Amino acid sequence: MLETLSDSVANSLVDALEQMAFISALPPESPLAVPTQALLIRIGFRGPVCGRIDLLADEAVGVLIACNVLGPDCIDAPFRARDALKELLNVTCGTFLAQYPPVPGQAFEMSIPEVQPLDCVTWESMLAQGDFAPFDAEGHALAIRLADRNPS
Amino acid sequence: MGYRFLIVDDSATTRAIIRRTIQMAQVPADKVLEASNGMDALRLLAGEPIDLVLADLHMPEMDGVEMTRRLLADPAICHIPVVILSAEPSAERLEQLKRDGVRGYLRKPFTPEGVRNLITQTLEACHA
Repeated sequence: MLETLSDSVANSLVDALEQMAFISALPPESPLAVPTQALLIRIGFRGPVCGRIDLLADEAVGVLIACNVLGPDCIDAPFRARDALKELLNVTCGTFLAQYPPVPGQAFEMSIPEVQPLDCVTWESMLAQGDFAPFDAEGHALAIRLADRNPS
Repeated sequence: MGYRFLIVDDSATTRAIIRRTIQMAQVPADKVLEASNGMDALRLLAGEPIDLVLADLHMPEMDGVEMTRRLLADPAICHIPVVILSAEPSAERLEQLKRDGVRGYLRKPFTPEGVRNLITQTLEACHA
């Protein structure tokens, strides 16, 4: 069941990236390289089940999203990268939770996404935990996992 | 004559997407204002004539539900329609919003066509 849900989170990320920013994310052909500017973005949720979704991302993915959604003449895309990644995770989480069968009187609550920079060692140690689904987003690293899932 | 819109979302990227979507949809717009939460939106609405508010649900300081509740309770601005653009997963909650006075909603990720349809249907209903 957990494997199915993890797949569902990964599929929700791929769908959100495609629909928001026309970016394809595919399983990488080789292990993800540590990006120069690595970020961890997190969102929590509670309702019929509680949990958290973690997104590891190269900040360049955020720049790519901002460029794609705001147009090629958007000069402030680098400054919007983290905001764009937070919105990507927000939409991913909403898409994922919308697949749960509704429970009357128990709607999901999502937290506001938070972002923090990561050093190389932390990036590699998190990926080594083995529960992240890695992606290559047009040459940039991205990985997602469903964490701390518990019945409410 | 164009419409005056207020976009309320804590994500500057999303506000820019909605602004661009309004332009792409060729909805006549005289003015597009932005606020990053419900509190800022209510301050703007007190001094600016607005035809339609497009708001997120989940925002810091004041969310879209509370903003809509206060707007509807204020006789000076309660006529301004509010539509919700949100990643909210619960269809039940979104339907509840309509019963509470929100004119329509669209779940993120949205398409330009979806935004255009929501805007035109809401404005047509208000001016019918």
